[in-house]
Amino acid sequence: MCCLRRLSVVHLRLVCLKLDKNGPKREYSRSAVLCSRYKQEKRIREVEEEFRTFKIPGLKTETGVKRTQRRKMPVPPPRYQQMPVDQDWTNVWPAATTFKWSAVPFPVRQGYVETVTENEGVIPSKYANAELMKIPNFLHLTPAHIKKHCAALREFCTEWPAGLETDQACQKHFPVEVETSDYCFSGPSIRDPRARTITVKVKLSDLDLDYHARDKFVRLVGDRFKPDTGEVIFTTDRCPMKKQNYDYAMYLLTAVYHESWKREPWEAEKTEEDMEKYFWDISKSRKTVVALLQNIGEIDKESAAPEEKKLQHLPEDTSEEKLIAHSEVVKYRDAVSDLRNGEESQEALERYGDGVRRLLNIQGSLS
Amino acid sequence: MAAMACQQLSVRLTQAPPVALLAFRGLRTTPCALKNVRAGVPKATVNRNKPLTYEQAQAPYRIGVTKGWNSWNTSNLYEEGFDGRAAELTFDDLVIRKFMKGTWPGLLASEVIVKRRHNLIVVAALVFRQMPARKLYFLVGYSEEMLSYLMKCPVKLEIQTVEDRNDVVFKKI
Repeated sequence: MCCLRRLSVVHLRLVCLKLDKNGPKREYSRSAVLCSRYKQEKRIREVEEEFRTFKIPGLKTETGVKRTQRRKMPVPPPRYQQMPVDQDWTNVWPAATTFKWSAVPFPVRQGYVETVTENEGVIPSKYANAELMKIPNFLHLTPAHIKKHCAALREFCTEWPAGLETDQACQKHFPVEVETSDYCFSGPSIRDPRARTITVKVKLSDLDLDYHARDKFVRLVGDRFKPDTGEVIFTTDRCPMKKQNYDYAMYLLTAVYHESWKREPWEAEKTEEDMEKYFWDISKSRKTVVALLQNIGEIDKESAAPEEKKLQHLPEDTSEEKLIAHSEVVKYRDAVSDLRNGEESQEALERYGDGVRRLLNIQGSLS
Repeated sequence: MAAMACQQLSVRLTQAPPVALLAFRGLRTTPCALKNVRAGVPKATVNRNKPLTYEQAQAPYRIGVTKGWNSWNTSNLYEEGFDGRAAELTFDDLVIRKFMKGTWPGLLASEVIVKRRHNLIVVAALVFRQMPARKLYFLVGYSEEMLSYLMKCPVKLEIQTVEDRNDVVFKKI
């Protein structure tokens, strides 16, 4: 209490000093000081007269003031108790929302209970269950909802064009396939850098190309050509926008097509080693066969009797052009080409063997 | 002679270590203390009268097992979140939770669940019925408006009320 008094005195002095600075109002200020001092002393007296009680921290007296109970607001009963059985569910749950226990008419529980001490051993019900509010629900996508969605969208649909009933027809009339992607995600922006990628697919057989142009096209596009499906796939993502990448892919397709039809002067310098497959007409086999047949033909000419001829089928004129067009040579040529270009098989090997035997009139067989 | 003995000793030392050192060779390991699963696990009281909600009763390592996530968005999915969106969304969720805790003081009966669909943010929570409905409706509108300005996108509050404090108590420890 002594301390309190000293404090009040200091306070009063400070008040006096403050008031003294205001010169002309000295009389008024003195009365104000007296008034405040009176109030202070009265307050101190009140504190002194009151009997101080010893309070034990933490002890609650039974005679404490009871908290007034707040009157509970009447709450209407949950909606699921008033639902008719044949109601339209789409009116109850029109759009995607958090699970609401009061509007869901079926009993559902979610949670994990380990012992009896947890929720009295019962899995928490739908009332006040935050777990059910977390998980996404599909109560807005029932068959009834989907039917309504389809009915609403029907007026914006157009008829499927005639003549495009099958996939083959679509492929025939629209040979170029363009693939784009749009991305949906949770975020304030609708932009996604992955959406710029464009994939253009076209079948090589749908392009108007001859043998040379096709070969050059395949060489130009490199691994963009898939031999197993016969497709050329251009994937462009170097420009920032989808439209730019589409334009670039179309430019690539056009440029490669026209470039493959061009015949550059240096392409004539292609030798047998540069060929993409075996060509009998420029091979050493052709020279050998022609030389061999011409040799045999000359020997046969010298022999007097036609029965003694080594090769009965050989024409009289053994010029190179005639020999090349000769049926046995043509068969031999096809057999060799198949063996070199196609896959290795017993049939190809036997056809080659037969071709050689008939060409050179070798009797008997190895097998 | 002495030099030879010295050489022999040095050879022996390099070839075989002393017996005393042999005990300290090899890889020494300590048993696993498993102390890193203690975070987020509430401490039990003597009288076993501390109420816990289902969310609090399940330890953090059980997220995805016995309880779900409180934030639902696509940024943590496979091949998503490559542009640092996950960090932004996580921070935004933190702001939303702080805002809700301050705007609904002592009223929240559950954690604040933040779900995102496209540019829409859905904030779901359980709320005690301490206030008159009129005030609750005001708080819902106020929170939606303020959060929409803060997040610069539409925000929807999906609040459900709880009758009593004991309704959300799952266990007492």
